[in-house]
Amino acid sequence: MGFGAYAVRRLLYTIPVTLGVMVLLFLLFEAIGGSPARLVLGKSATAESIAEWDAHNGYDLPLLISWEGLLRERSLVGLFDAQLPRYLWRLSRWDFGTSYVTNQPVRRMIFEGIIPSLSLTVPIFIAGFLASIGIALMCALHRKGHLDRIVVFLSVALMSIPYLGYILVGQFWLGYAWGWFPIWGYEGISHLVLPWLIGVVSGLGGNVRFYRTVMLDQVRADFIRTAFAKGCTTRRVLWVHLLRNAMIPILTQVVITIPFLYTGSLLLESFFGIPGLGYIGVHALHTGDRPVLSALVFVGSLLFVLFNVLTDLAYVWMDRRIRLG
Amino acid sequence: MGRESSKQTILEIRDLEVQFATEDGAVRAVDGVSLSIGEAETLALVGESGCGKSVTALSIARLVPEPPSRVTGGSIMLEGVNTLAMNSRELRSLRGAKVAYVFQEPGSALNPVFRVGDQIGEAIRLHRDLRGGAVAAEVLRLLKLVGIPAPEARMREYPHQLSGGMQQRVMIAMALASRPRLLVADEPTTALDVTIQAQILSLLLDLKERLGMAMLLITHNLGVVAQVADRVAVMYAGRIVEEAPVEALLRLPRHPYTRGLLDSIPKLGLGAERLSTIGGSVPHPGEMPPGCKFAPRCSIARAECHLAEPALEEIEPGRKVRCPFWKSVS
Amino acid sequence: MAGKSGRQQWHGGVRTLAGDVWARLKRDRTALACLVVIVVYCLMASWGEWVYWSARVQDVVPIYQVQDFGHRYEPPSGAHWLGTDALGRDVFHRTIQGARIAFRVGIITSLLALPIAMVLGGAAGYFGGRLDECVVWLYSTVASIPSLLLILVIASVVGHGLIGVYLGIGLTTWVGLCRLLRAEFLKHRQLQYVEAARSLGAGHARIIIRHILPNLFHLVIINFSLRFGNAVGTEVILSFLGVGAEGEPSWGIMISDARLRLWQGVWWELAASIGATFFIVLAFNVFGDALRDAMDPRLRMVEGS
Repeated sequence: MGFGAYAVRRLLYTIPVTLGVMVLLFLLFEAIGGSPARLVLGKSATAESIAEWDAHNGYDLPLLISWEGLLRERSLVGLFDAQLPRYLWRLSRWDFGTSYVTNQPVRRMIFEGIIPSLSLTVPIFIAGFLASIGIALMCALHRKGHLDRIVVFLSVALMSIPYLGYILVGQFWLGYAWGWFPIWGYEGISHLVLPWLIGVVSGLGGNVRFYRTVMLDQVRADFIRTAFAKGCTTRRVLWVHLLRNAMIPILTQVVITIPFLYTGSLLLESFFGIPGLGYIGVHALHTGDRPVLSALVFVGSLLFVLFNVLTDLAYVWMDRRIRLG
Repeated sequence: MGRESSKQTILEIRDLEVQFATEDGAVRAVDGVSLSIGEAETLALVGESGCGKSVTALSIARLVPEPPSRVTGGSIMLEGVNTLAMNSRELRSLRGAKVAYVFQEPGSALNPVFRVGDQIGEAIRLHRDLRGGAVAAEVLRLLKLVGIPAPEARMREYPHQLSGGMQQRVMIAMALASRPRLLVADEPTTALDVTIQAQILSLLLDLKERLGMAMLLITHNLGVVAQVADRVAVMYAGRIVEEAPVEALLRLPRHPYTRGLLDSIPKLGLGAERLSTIGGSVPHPGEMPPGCKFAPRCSIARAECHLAEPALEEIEPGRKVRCPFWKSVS
Repeated sequence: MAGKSGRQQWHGGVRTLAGDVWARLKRDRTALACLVVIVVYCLMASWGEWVYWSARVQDVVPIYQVQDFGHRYEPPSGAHWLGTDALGRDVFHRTIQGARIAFRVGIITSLLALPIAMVLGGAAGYFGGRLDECVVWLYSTVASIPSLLLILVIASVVGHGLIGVYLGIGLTTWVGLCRLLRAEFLKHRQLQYVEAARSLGAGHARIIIRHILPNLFHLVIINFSLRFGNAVGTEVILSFLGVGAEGEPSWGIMISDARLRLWQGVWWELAASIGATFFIVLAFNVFGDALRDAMDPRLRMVEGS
């Protein structure tokens, strides 16, 4: 099978997966949750006003398909006059409705939240990536030595500290007790340094552990011995021979985490008052703001599906070129 | 014998001892190995896998990872300089320049993400003052030297695009990049098809003659030894058990282990005689028998063989055996 | 190579493997220390269950809920080993209850996720075809949704405190193991020992359960150990965000209660809850790694040769 045919097949496969995500979201939000009328209209709503709201928003329709509609319209179109088909149709037109809480269009809320989220997560992602690659290379060089053992233990320990612990301790000591950083707000770089720091440190353990495994897999390879036998310096062996090979598994793993940058960090944003998507998400969770939450999850999933395809294609393309099999 | 003494000694290994740290404590993989190779000479180091022959060969340029390994004794003189005493800078100017290696599986010994021309070019740049177009020209020359057809196209390909035989030729070209004094070939033909094996062997032999290199050939294949080597050293369980000129050894093995190895080669024209094998297996490095390491598998072992290890005796000029009963072997 | 590993696994049934693994674990002092920590937490959790149920049976206020407004915010002392909280409740007993909840979360979510992963992964890998396509589609779909958000949404839609947490974590975290088992089943169904069993007339169910699964069960055990710690960490976040435990002292609730008091110098409740979470997650992580090292057949073969 040629690369083009594979690419087309792989791209087509995103359709059932995206559809699956939509159906899952429908089941979760609409089918199980039922009509949100009471939540939207408040406790004092009368039965009539609730029924009216339901009818206006389509919550009086059948869930999956509408036999009534089929009979009424005398065409297949009527069959789809039900909640699920309408939901799918809305999502595929990027129509996420309006927030129950702020009454703003959800699409706009998401657009406004993206920048603060990315300004938090992208630096964390890049700094964390570079730091952990460097540490992992060091481990690959000294594998089974003391340094390697210490790093392995430290990274497991860092992984085991609860995320909340990082935030609370960091905010309390670095922010409040020692007064090095502001604790709340989104007003400039200085307000982001502490959350960046916490984000990098809290992710370091897991990253180092993963990259170290990849590097150790590669450092045992015969071509590393060949490189040493040629007379390469250790630095050259690591940064040229090892890293170029390790980059392929690493990049495929790393690219796949990029979509998660978009959702920001639920906890970091709510603790530091950064008005990104994580903050919006936690707020929506607490207020039961269903349109916001489902739009957030949907866009996140869509990005994941997209990046997943890109990684797969990139991997296969590289693999065909250099056959790592 | 006279032939060797007239020439300069390239490599002289004395009482080399290499230990490996394992879960069960330190294990001696190489135990008191002494070898020497003269100019333009080929020494074959023969033994089963795990007998320490590869560790011995890799130790010359200190290529055994430390830890887990550690050289605990002996010396390795390469052109009169002890490589065991070298610092990392000295080692780098030794590796690839004075001693070059060809490994067993060219498919994994070549770096999969670099073009073969670049890999050879790297070896040239590391040790010679060639830059730019001169490097490319030298790569071409080397590829032609090792008999690769259409070298201009080949040098731009990735290792997986070449056949096993071509990959091994690339490895050899890379090893020759800085005209080494000693070429260490660690099972260079084991991973290849039989017909390709012969081609690579004759290429190695031819290059050795033309370039006047010394060669240390690691193999478990006595057929290869007969074709290529001048002298043979047989290793068992980290020790040398017999050393002799190649014709003498093949004609009249003096150690029961060598005898067993030779008997287990199928011979043409000897009819339906049953192929003999050496019973038992190599002792685990952690559980070495106290006496002669081969005694548990030896058909002529006596009671004293299990008590004390015999020394490597010189029984005639150029011929050493680690068995006091060598007269009853053949 | 495939034949070789197949033969090895054929000889190495579960029992010899278990003995082998135990022999290796015994030599690993860190792993043993983690096992001790896990056992201690297990005892704490059991004690917590006993306290919880005996209070319910006797219909009294359990000791960890007893409020004492005369002794609010008391630092650790002989009477209250880990001090008291904003309502004068004993932090030590609340921490023990946290262990009870953590173990419930770890065990119940595993009881949900592991069978799903084994059934779907095993069936997909073994039978292949249309069934395989469906399973792959299902886990690709679930894996596409940002996991913490999905768990949060499930937990909040289901509601009912910890039940939502169990379902949220249990129904989303089977994907990794399922993917792994599917790939392994795909490989194993072609190995010689499976063909041998098939030629002897063994049915599909027998082959899957008696022949292949024992060879892959170490993956399930390793996954259990590693996911336990993750589940505990996730529960803490869910409870902290208010979609988890209700009216019960989960470590997440304790962190949430205590975080604002840190400013006033009340550190013990936070230290107790964060410390308690840290050590059990660490123990399971390290122990899971040690298990993987001890059980990985690849490593075992290398050492044997």
